[in-house]
Amino acid sequence: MISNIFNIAARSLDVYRKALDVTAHNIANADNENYTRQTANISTSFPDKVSGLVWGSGVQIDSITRIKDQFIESQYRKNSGENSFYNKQSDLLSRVEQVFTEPSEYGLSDLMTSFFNSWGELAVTPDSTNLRENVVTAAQNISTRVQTINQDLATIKEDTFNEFNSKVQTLNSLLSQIHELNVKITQQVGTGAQPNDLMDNRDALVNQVTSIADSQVYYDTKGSVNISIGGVLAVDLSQSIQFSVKKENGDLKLTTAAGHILQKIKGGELGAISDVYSSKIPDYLDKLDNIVSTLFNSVNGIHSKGYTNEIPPQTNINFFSSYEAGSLKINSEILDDPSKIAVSADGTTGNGDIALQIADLNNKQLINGSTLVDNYSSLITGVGNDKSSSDSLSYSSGLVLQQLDIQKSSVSGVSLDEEMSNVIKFQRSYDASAKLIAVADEMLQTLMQMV
Amino acid sequence: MRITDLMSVDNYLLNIKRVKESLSTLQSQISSQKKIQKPSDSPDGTGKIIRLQNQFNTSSGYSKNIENGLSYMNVTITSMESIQSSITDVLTALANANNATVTGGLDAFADQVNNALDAILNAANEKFNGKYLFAGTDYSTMPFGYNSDGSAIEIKAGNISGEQKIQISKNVTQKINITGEEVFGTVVKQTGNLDSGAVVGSVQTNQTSVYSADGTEYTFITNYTKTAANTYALTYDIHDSGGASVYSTPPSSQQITFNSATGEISGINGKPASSLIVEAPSHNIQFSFNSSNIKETAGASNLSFSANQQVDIFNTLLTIKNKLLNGELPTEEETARVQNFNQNILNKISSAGNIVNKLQDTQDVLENQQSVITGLLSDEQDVDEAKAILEMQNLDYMLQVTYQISSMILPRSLLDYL
Repeated sequence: MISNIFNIAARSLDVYRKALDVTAHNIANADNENYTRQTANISTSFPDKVSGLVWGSGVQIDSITRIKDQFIESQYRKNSGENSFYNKQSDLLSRVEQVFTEPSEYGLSDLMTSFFNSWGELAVTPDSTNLRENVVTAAQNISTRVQTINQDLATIKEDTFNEFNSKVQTLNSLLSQIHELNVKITQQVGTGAQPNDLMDNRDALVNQVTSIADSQVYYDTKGSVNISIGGVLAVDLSQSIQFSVKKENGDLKLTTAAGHILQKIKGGELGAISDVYSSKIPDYLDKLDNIVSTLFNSVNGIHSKGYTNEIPPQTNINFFSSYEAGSLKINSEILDDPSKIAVSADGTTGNGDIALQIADLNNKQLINGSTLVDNYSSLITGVGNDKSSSDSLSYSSGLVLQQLDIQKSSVSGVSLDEEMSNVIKFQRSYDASAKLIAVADEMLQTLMQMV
Repeated sequence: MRITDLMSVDNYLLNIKRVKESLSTLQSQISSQKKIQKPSDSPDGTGKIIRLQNQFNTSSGYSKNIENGLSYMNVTITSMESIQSSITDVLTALANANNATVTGGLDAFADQVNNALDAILNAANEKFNGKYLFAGTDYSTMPFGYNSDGSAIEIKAGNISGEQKIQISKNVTQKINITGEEVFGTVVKQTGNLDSGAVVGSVQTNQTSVYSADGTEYTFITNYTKTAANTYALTYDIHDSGGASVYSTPPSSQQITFNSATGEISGINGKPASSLIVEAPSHNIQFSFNSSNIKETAGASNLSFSANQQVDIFNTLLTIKNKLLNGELPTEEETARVQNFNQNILNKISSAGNIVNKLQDTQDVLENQQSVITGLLSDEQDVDEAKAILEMQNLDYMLQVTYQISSMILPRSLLDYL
């Protein structure tokens, strides 16, 4: 029957036009990083049985599906969270290490050495006002540097807290969008449709969530994605949680609207920010505090035994008046009158024994069997190691991510060569189908002319 | 493997980014001449730089101290040499005065002695960098001068025995002055032991001869009264030949404490042990009393005295001059005191020379140390320019090649041939 040829050809024209639509959609999204290439799954349509024979009925499109490897996607999400953690940590630590201005002549290490040297020099001429002024200036330099380091680290801490807040707002927005997409996708899946582009959009949002916080991602059979963060179900088909930030025991925590405190976030950008805020910076400050407190106590311990260059000489005077909240203060009486620096051990003008003892603190093993400068050097090495380590891990996790991205792209990315081949292929099939109609038409014409 | 267009672009961008990052690092290193600019560039290297820089700066501080010490010691030696030269003149004058062939009065010799005395007094009061050389740790006060009626020369400064010290290396300090007490003063030293088992309230009394400026003999008496464990009250008195005290009011007592573990003096009146100036101006008596070496240990008390000289050189010369003016020759004992002083000043010049040698040797060691540290610092932080420039050149080639190849490959697709 000639009409059957028309039917087969017409169906074929429709199939290859639609296949060309899918190809066109792929080409249009070739540079869209979140896009997953789609393919029209073509199969033979259900055959007809006429006169005991089975007649082929042509071609049909079964479905239009995304080409995706779920295992690679899952690996990508996991490594994306890890890479985000180290990237963010590296960014924040890069700000932290700049605070110490090491190695340079402006660092605390050189200032401490200059301070001790100024005492050594004062011991040569203990009543020299200039040399006493030098000691005060050297102490002020230390005081300023210590205060600057503390203030800068406090600023970075405040910035990280603000960034944590901002990231949580972003996370909330992402969770809300994912919830909306969950609803739309499951509605369409319920009607037998395949909302590929919505799924791509949602996958992109899920990837953003995993890079912000370590999450457990699970796709259910209805087409919804469920994400758990810190032991709490953050989003599913029915709802999305809005998190808020709480400071608790010097740590940054997420809480739900119901007041439930989440387990500590250890991965993603939030994990990195929380780590720098609650662990790294406090650790550096503690170590610096220990060094400055030891300097404060050691200098005062010796200085208070000495005698000032006054008539009569005074004793039991502290060189530093206080060290609180990162602020090292020099005795205001000494600032006003350097003759109140107690350099003499016996009250005579030219005795510089106290100055010598303070100068020698530079060589004393005052903390854990090491000198102050050695301890400070260990602190800086620690800061450098933390930064260097997060750089290395950021680099290596970046390489893994890049490899996974290549694999992901290799499976799901659009190849213009491939798509153009498909265009030609489908165009030829479309042409052939059209030709078939022309042939059937001619056949019909021939028959008509016979009548 | 399927290669998509986005993969090619991403790969290209990633490689360009890495090459540019390396280029930027090298560029920054070359311009700053430092290969470590922040701790993460080399955490261990940074720690090493901080420690080396600390060593270098500390060592430079010691060098500066030594330079100051050397200047001070060199001026002190010059001053002592001038004193020794004056003393030689005195000894020559005294030899000539005693020479039987000399005729006439002794006034000319008295003049020579007086000139030498003035020269020695000037040298003893010489200053360097605002500090009296022989004033100990009371260097702002002129150490020696005539008393109010001009009959004797006395110590004016508070503590001419004080040692000025500088730090010259780790845990090492060096005295950089020759004290007035060492050169000119009469020092009565007390050594020996106080019985740590003695009961509170017990008194240990000892005595020795001391001399006034004109050589008159007196008796110096010390009493250590135990007031508590390891603590004593030291009182002293000076009696004339008739046994009468030269003081109308007795000098105040000194509290002496001993370290219970070592038995050494831990302080006098709460301060580190130092010499005590004992004086009785009405009788022209003045000397340093040094008891800082006595100990408190188990066993019977046995304190003893020793003195470097009976009368100091100033008052000895003053006495000799006055005698010569009166037509008298100095006694053999007085001449011997001048000879003793001559020997003493020679010894002090020698010990000052030893200090200078020690300072110079330490300075040499420090300079070597600084040179080594500078080398180590350079190894650790300085950029090897040739290597860095070659690496930069290489990276630049790589960048150009990447651009070239990318420009050839990236725009190509099947579209170009359709």
